Amino acid sequence: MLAERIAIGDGVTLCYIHTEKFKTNHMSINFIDELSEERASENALIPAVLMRGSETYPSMALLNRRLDYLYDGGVGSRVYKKGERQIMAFQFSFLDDSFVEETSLLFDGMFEMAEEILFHPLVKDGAFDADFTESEKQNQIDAIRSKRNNKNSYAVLRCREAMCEGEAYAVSELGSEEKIRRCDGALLYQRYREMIDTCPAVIFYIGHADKQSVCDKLSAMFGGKRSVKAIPDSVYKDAPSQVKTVEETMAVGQGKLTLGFRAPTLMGSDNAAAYSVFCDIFGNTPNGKLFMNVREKLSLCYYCSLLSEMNKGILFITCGINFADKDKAKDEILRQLEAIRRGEISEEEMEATRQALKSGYKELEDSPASLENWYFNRILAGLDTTPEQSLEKLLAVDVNQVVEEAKKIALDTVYFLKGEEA
Amino acid sequence: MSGEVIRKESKRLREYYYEKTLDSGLIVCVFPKKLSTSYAIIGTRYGSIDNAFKTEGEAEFTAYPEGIAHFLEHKLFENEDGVDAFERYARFGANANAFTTFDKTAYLFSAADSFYESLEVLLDFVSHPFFNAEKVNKEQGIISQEIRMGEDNPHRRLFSELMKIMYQSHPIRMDIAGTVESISRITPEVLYACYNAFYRPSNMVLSVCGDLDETRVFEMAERFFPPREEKKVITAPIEEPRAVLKQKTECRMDVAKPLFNIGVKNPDVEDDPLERMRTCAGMSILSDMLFSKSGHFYNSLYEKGLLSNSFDYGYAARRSFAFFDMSGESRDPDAVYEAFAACIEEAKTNGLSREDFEINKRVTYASTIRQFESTEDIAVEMMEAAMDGDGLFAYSDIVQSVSFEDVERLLHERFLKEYFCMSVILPQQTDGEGESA
Repeated sequence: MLAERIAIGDGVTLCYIHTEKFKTNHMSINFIDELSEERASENALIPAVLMRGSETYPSMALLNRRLDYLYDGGVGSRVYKKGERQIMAFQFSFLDDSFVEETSLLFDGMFEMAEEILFHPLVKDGAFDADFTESEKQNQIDAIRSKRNNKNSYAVLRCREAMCEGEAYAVSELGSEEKIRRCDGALLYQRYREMIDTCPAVIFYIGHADKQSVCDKLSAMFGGKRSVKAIPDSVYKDAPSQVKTVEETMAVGQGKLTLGFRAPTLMGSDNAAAYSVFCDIFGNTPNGKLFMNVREKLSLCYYCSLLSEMNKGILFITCGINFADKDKAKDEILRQLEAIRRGEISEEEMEATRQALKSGYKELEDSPASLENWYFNRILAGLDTTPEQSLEKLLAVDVNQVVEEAKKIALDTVYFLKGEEA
Repeated sequence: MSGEVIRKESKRLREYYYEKTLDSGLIVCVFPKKLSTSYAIIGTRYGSIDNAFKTEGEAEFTAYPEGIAHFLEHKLFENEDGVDAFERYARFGANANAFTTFDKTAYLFSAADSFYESLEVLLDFVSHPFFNAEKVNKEQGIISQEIRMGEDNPHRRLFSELMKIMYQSHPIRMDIAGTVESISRITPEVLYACYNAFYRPSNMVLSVCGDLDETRVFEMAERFFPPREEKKVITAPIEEPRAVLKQKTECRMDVAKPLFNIGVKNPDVEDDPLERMRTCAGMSILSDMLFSKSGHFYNSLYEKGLLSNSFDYGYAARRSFAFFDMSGESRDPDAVYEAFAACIEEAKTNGLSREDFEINKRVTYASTIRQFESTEDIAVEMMEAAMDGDGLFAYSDIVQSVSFEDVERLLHERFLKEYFCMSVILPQQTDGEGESA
């Protein structure tokens, strides 16, 4: 599946993939800003407030009613981070017109919605609607507080915060309660204008429509002159000489252990393929060392997951265990890492990894969301490799390269969430 | 003599597939789809609710330890030669998994190349159980962690508490994974007993979707599931009273803001799967008319800060149980419950709008088309439809045939106040002051 990159306007890139294999057409419009304490809260509020209503559809009810009419057209917004970049994403997914009776209803409808929401917000006297703003501020504060609800992911979040204290990466993609409270409709509108006028934008279209029609629609939206800001790269930082240990207590029945490592091989590095293979050998699959040992051999856990954040140079291993098994689990994880460093990797393991990578790359093609994520990471790293080229590099990685990558990672922080009775 | 290969087609959806019932009773469905990967799933009508049963000739029903269907699912991956099914799949790059629900257990994989080699692994390990004491003990440790992980999950607890008040004695009240105590009583002998009772080809469905040769799939299935003597198995009858146990339950966990799960029990679950499907289609349209993000209920509560984007609802119906439920987060769950009850009353009093009906029928119709986008969605739905319905296309046909009167009738028959109930998870109590959510 060929992905074409097309410049639509100043700092606006379209990644266009033509395919007729899905019933729906997918588009996402993503604005990129530097992740910063100063701007994160307001940036995160912008999509939520825009989704509350526009000039033609001045309420959520009217907006959603229009989407119902468009055969349950999907529109959503999301704020997240990739490395030290904050992404404000607007996502659209509509059935293809070939399934309904009116030609071009849904194609036109999808772009009409995008235009409405992004470029025709409900604004009065240079400010967003006060009710919309206040209620979305509260929703965002609630969302920040609710991160504690899922203890598994909370244990990774807390490790990241402890590990990256003082770095931009520690800033939440939703900002902070304090900064959210200080926001009002006028300040938010200003930030919105900055986003529209100065943030680089990456657009994805995966669907049936021909390139020219898509470009025409997007040029009409983004054609004007923009003074696009430069977004700095994420900053990699080495692990400190002393491993940080953090322990917290919450009402949990199971301990959650997270080991945070610094991993200097970033997206775009010459060794990126070797590092990815190392990650697969170590964790990620039922044939990885972590599943086979921490779970199957020692029965210490149900999940022992590896999370690699190649945009920043961080790796997490996280598992749920009995409180008393904290040291046992940590030791076994580190023992498996040492085993890889000593080259204790069989040809079966390497071959299983190659097979899994080949399948994984085919699976990419069947998922618009996965395709988009794959290309987005490459675009942000300034790469124009294709999945085929990437796969070729991955399949060529040998054991020695995996060993070298294993030696480069360094333990930075050990975080443990334990229960009150522990 | 094997059944004929039936070609099932939907002109409207522009899709078709093949279905065959083998001599052994195994149903095999093959859906041709040109995507980059293929998907296979084999399931049996055996879930956590099938906890007590007897085989033909036995006088009494035996109640097995809670969580046994799920435990069996984990253990089936082990083979007699000590090689785990995951290791076998790994040679071919297949991405494999399994799951257990209230009413079924299923084993699946997704593969790019080497589909038939992976299918062989799947059919082989599912048809050849091997359980021993050492491996059973080891699994108890792993599943105990799975249970503990689930206990820390507020959404899981929220739903589990709802089932415990909606149902008085129905086995749906039991946790699918069981408890740390109940799984400690599982032995290889009881695993074999359950396997032999329920993993009979006539109780199972193999469903595959991809760029495949259906003849080859039928032939492979026949090889691994030849006809055999089957003992009849009778699950203990479920005698569930009509009424809910109680209307509200609350507990506390470490959450930022209260979570709520409102339920409406359907005490008249249809025995006929097609009838159940008809109710599902009508309920899907009706619940969108009442509760969707375009409607008054959701928007008025959202604007008052009583609902957020974390909001979901739906109607589920399986053999022996059916209910509507709605879940979300709110600083005032009681207010949401009042508004829910008021919304139903108002709709009954003032009637529904035909325009609303037409728009929401369009929405449900769109969802039936989107089902056919991925090999996984297709294969899973096709398996469910073979186990519990009249094939994959029946649902979208039924959706088309739902009338405004059907939906009005469901409103009056399926949303009766006496069957409402709600489970709430409140944040932990703070000592003294502390910010309220």
